Formats: sequence, C-alpha cells, structure tokens
Amino acid sequence: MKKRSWSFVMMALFGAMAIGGCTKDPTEELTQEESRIYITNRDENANFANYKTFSVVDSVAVIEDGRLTAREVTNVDLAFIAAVRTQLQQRGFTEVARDANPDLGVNVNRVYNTSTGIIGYPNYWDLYGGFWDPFYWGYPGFGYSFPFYSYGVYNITEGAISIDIVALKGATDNKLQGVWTGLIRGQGVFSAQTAGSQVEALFAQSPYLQTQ
Amino acid sequence: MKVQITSLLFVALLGTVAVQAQQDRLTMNINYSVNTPIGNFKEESVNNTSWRGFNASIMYHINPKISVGFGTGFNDFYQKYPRALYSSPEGDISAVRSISAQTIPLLVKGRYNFAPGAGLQPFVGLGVGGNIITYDEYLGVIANGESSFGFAAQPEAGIFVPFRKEGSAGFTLGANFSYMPFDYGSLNNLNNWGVFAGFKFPLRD
Repeated sequence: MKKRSWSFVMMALFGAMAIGGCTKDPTEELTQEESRIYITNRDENANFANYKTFSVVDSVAVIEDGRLTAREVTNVDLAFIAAVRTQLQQRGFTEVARDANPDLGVNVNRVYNTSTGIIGYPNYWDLYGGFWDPFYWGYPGFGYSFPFYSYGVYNITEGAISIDIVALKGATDNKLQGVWTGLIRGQGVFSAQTAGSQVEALFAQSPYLQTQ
Repeated sequence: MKVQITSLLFVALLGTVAVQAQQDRLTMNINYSVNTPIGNFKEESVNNTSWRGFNASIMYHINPKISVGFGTGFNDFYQKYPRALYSSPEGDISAVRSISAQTIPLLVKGRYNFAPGAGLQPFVGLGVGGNIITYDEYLGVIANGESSFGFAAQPEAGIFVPFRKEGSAGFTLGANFSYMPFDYGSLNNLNNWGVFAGFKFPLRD
C-alpha cells in the first residue's frame, strides 16, 4: 500500500479517535448538589401521630467500615444535629432532654466505607516511552528483567451521613425499633454550609414524618 | 476507553485486510455521524441526539455496482434528568438520574451502487453482525449498568459524489437505521436512526 494510502488510513484512525474520545462522563456533568442522593426508609407500621417528643444525640458517631471508631463534635456535626432538630420541630415535635422520656430518639452518624483495589503492571518497563531505555545506562540493546510482579494498591473512601429515628415510647423485648432512616451520599456531604439544605431534602421526601 | 480502543483496533484490522486483497478495488469510507434514539430507547432511556459518533467501512468492489466488506462505528448517547424521587422496595431515593450508552457495531456489509461512474452515485447497503454495548445508569455519582455483546443490523442509503469523473475518492452523505436489541430493565433495544457525512478513498498501490 502506498504511503499516501497509509496516510489516509492514519488520518481516518486519528479522526475516529478524536470523535470516539468525546464520550461524556456523566459524573463530570454534575454539580456537587446534583451528585448527592437522598435515601429514606420507614417502618410502614409506625404511626408518627402517636409520637410528640424527641431527643437528638449531642455528638456524632463515626463508623468506619462497619465499626464504631469515635464520637465527635465538629462544626459539621453540630450543623447536621441542628438541622435535624429544626426539621422535627417544624413538623410539630417537641425537643426534650434525653432523661425526660422522649418518644423518639435521633442518632446522627458519619459513615465511611473504604474499598481497596489492586492494579497489576506486568512488563511496563518494555514501554520505553514511559521508562528509561537501557541505552541511558550504557547498555544499548539490553532489556529489563524484574524477578517479581509489579502492582499498585489504591484505596477509595466514601463518606455518608445517616440519621436514624428510633421509637423509645413503647419499647419492648429489649429492642429499640427503628421507625425512620435517612442517608445522604455523594460529593460535598460533609459541609456545615449545606447541612441544612441536605437534611431539609431528606425530610421533604418524608411527608408522613409529622406528629399530626 | 476500553470500548473506544476495541473500535479503533477493528478499524486497524480493516486496514491490514487491505494489504491482502486486490487493492485497486478496495476503498475505505469514514464518516462523522449524528444519531437519534427512537422507540423504546427514546421513551425509556435517552431522547437526546448523539453528536459524538462515526462509522467506517472497508469495501471490496466485486463489480462496479456491488461491494462487500466490513464496517464498524461508534455512538455515545447521554441524557441527564432533573432531580426526582424514585420509590423502590429499598426505600425512596431522590437523585439526579443520568444515562450513558455507547454502541460499537461490528458488521459484515454489502452495498449496491445504482450509478457507478456518474457525478452523483446513489447507493443502498445493509450491514449485519454484532454490537458491543456499554450501558450505565447513574443516580448521582452511583452507577449501575452492564456491558454486553448483542446483535446489530444496519440498513443505509446515501449518495457518493466523486471528486472527479470515474474517480473512486469523494464525499459520502447518507442515512441509516440501527436495529440493536438490548435488555436492561424496561429497556429492550437501543434502536436509532442517523445521518452521516464523510469521505471515501481508495486503498491501492
């Protein structure tokens, strides 16, 4: 095949690559607010009209990979606790002290999950474009040989806010029944500035959560 | 990225096939293509037009009217929906839903040229083969989806305008319909139609 024909083929390939490389990444098209998802669940048998008072925790439980590791009170934690208090009060519930027999108890948690991956790099040293050519060391024509497998390890940690409401009123059988749970996942969750709007979004999709 | 490399490797393979055949009857056609979902694909998933696509083929001219060969292509479909509440047995989820779908057909093709040698040469064609599909649905940044290999059929019609009389290089302009079955939830196909424009040139010594 003539050089000119190969030139056409290569130009066509590069053109195709340019068009094919324009794949949209949906995650890059989202603002931080759009990246967040709000998940709520409820006990279908719970009648929230039966509950009048509540008490919120004074600190946030930090749960990492399924284990409670700390209780903390950062500015972000305080913002979420205050937002939950505001939302429940707006729905007719009255906050009382923890030792005043509240009908509902509210837990606020920061949840972290870490996933680990391993990437293998077999024979990457053969790609001289990204590795020193043995010629540099005075050994032209030599190749590299490593007696072990090359790999890299990466960790991805995702954080979320979870809010659990448990029924203290009428608790039996040594169990505190969960009646509502809310979870916020995505980007920019741990923000004192947006804590109020995030908690508001959780409660907005739970119109049943009111005392009358 | 893996999906795009597969398509480019297939186009490169078409180039190596050229070396083996009688090259003065061999032509390559590459087009920019714009495709729009129809039917179930449009109703259940994406109704935005894809402006990110191409198709390419290498055809061997058995005679001036009939050519056969291989074809491929790529289309990227994307849609973002406003935040909405989705109810499921797992609870209520408020999220911004996004859909991203890529198709790479790998086809055996045939074309019929109605007026070889003319200034305007209308043609029709049909490609049948497989289809590499990557389909992802996002709720926020949380993705679920699948990749699969399915069936594809692609009838087409268009015109070829040679740069010079009797020449085998020139412009191509046409339209096609892609039949692409695909099962994912309530989605049962990725059918779409499109228009394309590009160049055809001979591969010869």
